[in-house]
Amino acid sequence: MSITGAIVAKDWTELRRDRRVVIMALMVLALAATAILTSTVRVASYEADRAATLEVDRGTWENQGARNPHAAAHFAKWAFKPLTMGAVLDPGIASYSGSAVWMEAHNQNPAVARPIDDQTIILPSGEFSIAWVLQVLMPLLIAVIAAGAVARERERGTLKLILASGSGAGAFVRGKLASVGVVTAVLAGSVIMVGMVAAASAGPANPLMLALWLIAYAAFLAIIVLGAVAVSLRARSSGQALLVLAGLWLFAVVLVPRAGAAVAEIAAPVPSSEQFWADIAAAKAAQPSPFSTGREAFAAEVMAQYGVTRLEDLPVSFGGLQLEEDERIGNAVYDEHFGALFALYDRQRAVMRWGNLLSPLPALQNLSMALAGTDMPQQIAFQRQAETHRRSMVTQLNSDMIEHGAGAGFDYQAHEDLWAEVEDFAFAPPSLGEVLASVWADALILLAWLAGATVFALRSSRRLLAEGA
Amino acid sequence: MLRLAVMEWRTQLRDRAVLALLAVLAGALVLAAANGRVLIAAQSEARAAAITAKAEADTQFAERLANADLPPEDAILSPYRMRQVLVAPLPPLVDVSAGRAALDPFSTTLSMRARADTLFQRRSLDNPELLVRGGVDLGFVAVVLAPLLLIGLLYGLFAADRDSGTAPLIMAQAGSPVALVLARMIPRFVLIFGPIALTLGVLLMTGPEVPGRGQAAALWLVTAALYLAVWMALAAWVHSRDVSAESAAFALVAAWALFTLVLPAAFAAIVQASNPPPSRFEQIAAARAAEVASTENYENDHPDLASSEFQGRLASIRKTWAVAQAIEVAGAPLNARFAERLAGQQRVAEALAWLSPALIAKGALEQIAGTDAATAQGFRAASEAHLSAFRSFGGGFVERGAIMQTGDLAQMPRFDWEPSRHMPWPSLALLALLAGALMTSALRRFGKLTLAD
Amino acid sequence: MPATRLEARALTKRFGGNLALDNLDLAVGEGETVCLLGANGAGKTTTINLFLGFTEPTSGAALVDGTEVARDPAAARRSLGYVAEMVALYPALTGAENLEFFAQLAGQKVDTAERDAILARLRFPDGAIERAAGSYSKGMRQKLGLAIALMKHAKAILLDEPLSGLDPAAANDLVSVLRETAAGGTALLISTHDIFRAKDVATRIGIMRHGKLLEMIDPAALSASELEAIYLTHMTERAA
Repeated sequence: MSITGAIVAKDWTELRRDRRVVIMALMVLALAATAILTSTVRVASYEADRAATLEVDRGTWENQGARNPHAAAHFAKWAFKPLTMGAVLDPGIASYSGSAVWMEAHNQNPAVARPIDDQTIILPSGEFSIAWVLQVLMPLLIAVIAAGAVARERERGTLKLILASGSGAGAFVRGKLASVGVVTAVLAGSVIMVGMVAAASAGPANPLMLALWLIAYAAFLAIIVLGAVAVSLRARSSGQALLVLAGLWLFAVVLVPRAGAAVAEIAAPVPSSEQFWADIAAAKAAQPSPFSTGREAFAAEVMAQYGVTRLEDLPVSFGGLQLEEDERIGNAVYDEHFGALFALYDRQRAVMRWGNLLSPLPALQNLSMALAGTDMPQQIAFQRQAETHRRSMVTQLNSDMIEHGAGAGFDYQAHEDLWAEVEDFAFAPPSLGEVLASVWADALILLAWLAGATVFALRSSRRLLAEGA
Repeated sequence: MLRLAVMEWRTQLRDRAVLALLAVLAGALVLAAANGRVLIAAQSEARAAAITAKAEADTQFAERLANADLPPEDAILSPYRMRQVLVAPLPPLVDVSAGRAALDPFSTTLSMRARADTLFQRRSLDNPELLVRGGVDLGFVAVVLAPLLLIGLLYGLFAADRDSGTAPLIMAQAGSPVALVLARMIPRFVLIFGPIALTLGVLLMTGPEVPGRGQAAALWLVTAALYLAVWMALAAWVHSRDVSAESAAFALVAAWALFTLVLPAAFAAIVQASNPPPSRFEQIAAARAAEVASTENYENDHPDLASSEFQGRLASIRKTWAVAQAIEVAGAPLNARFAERLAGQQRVAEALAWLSPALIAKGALEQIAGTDAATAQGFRAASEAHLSAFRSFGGGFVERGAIMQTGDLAQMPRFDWEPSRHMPWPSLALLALLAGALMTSALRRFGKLTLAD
Repeated sequence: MPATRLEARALTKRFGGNLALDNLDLAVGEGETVCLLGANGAGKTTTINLFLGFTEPTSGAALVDGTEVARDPAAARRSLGYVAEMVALYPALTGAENLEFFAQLAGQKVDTAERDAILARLRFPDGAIERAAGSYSKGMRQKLGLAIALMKHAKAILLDEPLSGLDPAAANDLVSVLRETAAGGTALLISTHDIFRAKDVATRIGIMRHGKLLEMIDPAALSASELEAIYLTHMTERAA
């Protein structure tokens, strides 16, 4: 048997007999199983619910009978964000972001129905999911396992024995990395595999995205393994190694992501919603409304366009034109304000990326959420698509009134066939290319961390060489 | 013992690992203080703005009613011009334990068109990406960070002396290790708790005047100290057993992870599963079905455009009012189910919380700070109840076809909700009991310690 | 008749099925030095641990200055000094800081003049007291251990193989200070398997084997050949 194999076999036997480690590992596995189960149930019931609601709402919409298209535009439709199979793996921001947008006339509404509003409990650290188990608990478990990997051999004096046996410090370190790596691979691998199966059975899966998700976690856990073994190489005792690793874990896994969020909040504050809506209302009020202050000018413009001198002579519905003009003015205001808001979110993300100098976790979180389809860029994509759909729907309804409502004013009623012509909203998730474009920086950061951890482990093992000599 | 404690203090401050831990604590505290100040400033400003808006709305409406020149076809629309701004009072320690403050609404504007299920819908501008990662507040430092840092500092409490062989000499010299153990715990406790208390002091001194703030802060500090004392006592208890320093550290880190991460995660799943909320989508669809069933006309949204005649406008707002009532009736069962499920979750969460000291402490700190889930739900429930009274008041005029007069203002329902401030005495008592029992047991064992068995 | 500082009355200790100490009767008076001589497992260290209250007797009693140890171990320890076979110190602290720490544990303040005098008597290297204890040789650690015990002004000092593994010079330094200490009235109980050192320092030597005190001998009355006979009879089981 090779030296590496011998070390892996011996460590595996020792760990198996260490009840503390076995209990902790079982606990993590049990939690992961619970997480998989609850997320699968949640995604499935969410999707069933969404499908049922769409069905009911389509019925309501199509059977609203003859009425004015603008009344229908006020009644309008809702866009519901689908929860992808990736949410089984990483729910990302799903709990904290709205999943429904009311696509009504005049207003670009924010996404509402945040699950967190209907949840009483907030965890002290992150949301319960497989991603959370892998991001938070697994590193702690690796720390516990790796702390003693070298330090305990040194403490017991077996390190000298091993180095004296002529196996060489390099082979010893490789063996230790392999043994911690194998344990991690078995534990994390089983969690990930079951998660993947659950995700794949929850809905159509993009195998490439799943593969990339797996690779991202493999890289992250490799960084943890390398770092933890390196600390064990340098530590005087296994107890000290355990504490140093627990401290690093607390810092890098628990504190840094939160600190990043806290700093982002301070560096790029989001306006209060009251302020935001007041600004929009003010900006809209500052524009000449085709219904009040700008009515004269707009009427003149329309009459000139149609070559008539009296509104009554217009071949189209002036009311419909007013509404469409009002939309045009409003849309420009919304574009500006929502654009600024989304830009602010981007800036916050950029600020949070600085946290990657202190921990590889924020980068992994970004990658994981992006590949699971549950990150902020995809939420924004949903809101933007809903807005695009709202505009085309409102224009479609206004056009009907413009074309067919001449002279009838707001008493015009559209035929009920019109409702069926209005298309349902369907969210088109970003392509893999678009997803990767939003997180390439995070992928590079994770790779840089992997390189850094490898160098750190190598340097630490050189100390051992000196010790052996 | 005092001199021993002083000596321990000196050696602690010379230890680079200790300094690193303290640096982490200091960093977190600076962030917590900065975040707390930003949060309380934002919350105060937003409340001030809401209160200004409330005053403006009140004045405008009073002026409208007082306006004798208002033609009746306009005056009849007055119920639909009513605006009332509801503002929850600023929690006394929102900057210390943010709790749900960043998530939950604290103000809303009522009109006749407002609905219970959509009352707070427009306020979700916060970046979900930030919310999901959570913030750093003093409560987080006290509940999550401080215990683990204390465990780190207590590494050398006694088990390390067994490992290195200094334990027999300590016993021979001191008689029993009790005094030494106490002398070692006190400076370490001060090193962790002192900066937390100091940060609280800074927040108190720089923050705004809020009624009850000083008293709440004192109680908050006591709770945080008791919770930290539980961990110190647990550490002493573990170290009083015949274990190596590594095993002691392992046991304490595992206990920390169990109480702070694992149990809360498991409980969250249990709480959700025990009382799954009904579907918000279903609620939306139900309200819409009710709406479309009872309205056919555009007037619902623009009564002033529907007609310029008194009778026409009255008919229009009567229709609107009828539609609104129909929607409310249709939505009532589902709304009630939401409230019931949330209350159910709250009950299960509170019951389960007793199993984890971390959750006991977190709940108590938030309760003291006024940022707990129960207070948030109280505001929501009170707002919804008030909305119902408010709409009935306005609806009465619509139904009677009466024009609202200045004299009627006195009858308009006023919102004067104050959170019921329950102090978490049972939690405090339990933490004190836990700390006391563990510490007594540990010191008793240290008092009777044997080494060679 | 000098006052009895250490006394064992039918002191017995059983670890599971193993009888570690069997019915020991022993008294060490003021100014007396008793060496317990025996192979490993003879019961010497168990005797010392019982006097220190590190373990409780199965039956019988250990008394320190009249106090029954099992009843009030802390009070008993207040009258005792202790030097282990391997004196363990805090490696990050200097010798002086270690001394100060252990003195404070005993509720005492270090008198620097007294400390320096004791260190000089022990021939502790000049200036080494301000160095980190992690750099000390075994001899220095043992000397500092004895200094800690001496600074306590204990009525009795228990020494568990204090000289094992020391170079002869360091051992001589310690032995001469031990003699002076005994002459000052302190009772000393020393466990050792070095019969020649025992003869050097003891007023009485107790021969132990398998947990039993076989005989008490007066070292002054021993000839070299008798010493050798004792060694051959009792010490040849060292490896056992």
